[in-house]
Amino acid sequence: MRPGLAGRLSRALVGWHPRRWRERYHEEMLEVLDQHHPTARTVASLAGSVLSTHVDPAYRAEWLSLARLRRAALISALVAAPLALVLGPIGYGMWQDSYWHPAADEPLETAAFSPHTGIMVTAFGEAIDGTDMVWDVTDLSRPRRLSQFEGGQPVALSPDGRTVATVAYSGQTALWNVADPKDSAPRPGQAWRSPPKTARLADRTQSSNVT
Amino acid sequence: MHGKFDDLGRFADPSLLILTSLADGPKHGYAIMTDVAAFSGVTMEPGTLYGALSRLERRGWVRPLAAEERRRPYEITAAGQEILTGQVKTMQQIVQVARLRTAMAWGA
Repeated sequence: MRPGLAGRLSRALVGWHPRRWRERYHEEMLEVLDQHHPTARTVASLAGSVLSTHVDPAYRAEWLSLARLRRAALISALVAAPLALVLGPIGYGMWQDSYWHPAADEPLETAAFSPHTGIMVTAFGEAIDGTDMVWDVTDLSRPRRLSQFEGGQPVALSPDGRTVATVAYSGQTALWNVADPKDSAPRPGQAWRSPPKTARLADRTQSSNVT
Repeated sequence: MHGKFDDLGRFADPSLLILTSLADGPKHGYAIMTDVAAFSGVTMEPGTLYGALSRLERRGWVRPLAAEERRRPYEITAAGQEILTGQVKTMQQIVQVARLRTAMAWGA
């Protein structure tokens, strides 16, 4: 530690003692520091002194009394307990929701799968324009939901797992970006969902290698 | 200041060193530090010094004198003298036994 830094830190630390301590020792401690050559050890010893005097009943500030600390702990517990009761189940539910529970979900309508990446896109239930879900099925015993979006029936997923083609009830086809599914849902606005023109879609299909 | 005494730091009780330093007359903080370093080789840092001084003061073993500008000298009290005398006797016993045993065991 540079002497200048140790000296400045030491002098600052003297000022961090409790008020009652400073009233008594501040001046003479600074006087000692003026003559002493402060090192890292000086800083460490003063830091220890600051800590021990702050818990010392003889110098401790009034607000740091044991009764106050106890009251603060009690109030925190009273506030935290109901919060935990409410937020705990909600959080658990959200965590559970991100996993696939085949028994609880509606029947699977269609699915597209990219074996190499372990990405699968599914559509459940009757509603053809309903919710598509993007799954990470790398761990087959515990498929994890990465995101969801409102598309149509997923018909094909590119081998790299980045693009999914959907067909909506109206017959419109669309390409969706699932490259970064953790970053919310595929975003139609980001030039990934192609206009519903067959020619354009064919181009896009070739270039992005949808199988 | 350093050297062969360095290891004493672990065994040295700051209170004992301060009382010993004040035994030959009142001294202010920095004078205690230099005196202790001279007779024991222990470099006492200001945090340690004032922590021990305040404890000694509360037990009534040292007493602060009127400050001279920013320096405040400390003086050993009668109770402090008694404590130091007792401590030195105990230590003499320890030293005697230690000498005897180290001499018998490995001829130190």
